[in-house]
Amino acid sequence: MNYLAIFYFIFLAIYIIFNIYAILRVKSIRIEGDQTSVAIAVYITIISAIILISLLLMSGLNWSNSFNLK
Amino acid sequence: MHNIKVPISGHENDKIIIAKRRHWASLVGIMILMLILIFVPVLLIQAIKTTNPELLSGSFLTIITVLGSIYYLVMATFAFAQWMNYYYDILIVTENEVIDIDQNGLFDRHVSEISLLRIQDVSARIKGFWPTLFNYGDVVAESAGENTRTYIMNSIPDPIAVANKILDLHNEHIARDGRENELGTGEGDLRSQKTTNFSKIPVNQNIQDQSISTNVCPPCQAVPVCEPSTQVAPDNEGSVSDGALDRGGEIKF
Repeated sequence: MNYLAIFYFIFLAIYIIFNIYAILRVKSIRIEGDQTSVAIAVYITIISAIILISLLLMSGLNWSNSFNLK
Repeated sequence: MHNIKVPISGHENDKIIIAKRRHWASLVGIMILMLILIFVPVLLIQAIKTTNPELLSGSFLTIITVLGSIYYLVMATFAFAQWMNYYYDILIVTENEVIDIDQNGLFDRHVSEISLLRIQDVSARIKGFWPTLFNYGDVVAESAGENTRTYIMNSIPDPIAVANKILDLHNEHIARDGRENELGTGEGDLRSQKTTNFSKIPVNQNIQDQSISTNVCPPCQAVPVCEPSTQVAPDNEGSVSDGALDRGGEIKF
């Protein structure tokens, strides 16, 4: 496999775990009657779109170069 | 914003008089920075495409794509944290207290509660071009007592009106509870026995101005905090007896 791909997927895993914790933390400090749920929905939509577009772009790239594991 | 409830246990049903978030104009700087940061990678790629288009192929393109994805994900999280920072900076004034909630990012939150009775001084501060244009600034409240604390609530819309309202509520509390006579002793200063005349002390007058009469505390008259049996030696200027510690600067509930 490719070093860069491993690095990216490890980053994605850590990022998703961090965001799950952050969203749970935000939900715990909510004030009754606020708009936090809308903000969380927008945030999840945006990061999902970024990840999806990134994966789509990466799937069309040439990974068989000098970053391969020997 | 008054449809929110006080986010402190035991105070959920308190009547909210004022509830304000930071003014949106305080976010303008961050928003402009974010807009610039969103377009920086796009401009960089355009510059590379113009100067050296051969770079945008092969492994370099792979690296750019991965780094770009990481960059935009971090930016999205940063923007969310800034929004949290803005949305949860709240000033709430109920009928009994002032609550200042200060959120810094996602994992740092500071909640301050001041009883309206313990507020000693409230001021408003509008400093700068944008705050003056949009009428927002800081509300500064100082609490009474031995350990005075200063509470600063940043970027509040219409801070002068908010400060006036807090002071009005404080005065209403004082008048309602009949504590006008305690205003002078509630300032947090421990007065020396030698310089105190324990005749009736008018409200808001500095008690250090009274003439020296005796170092023996006379029987209590107009000042309810007097301890009749307390005596201070003439050469104990500045020392504080146990009785004085109990009464100095505290409003008795």
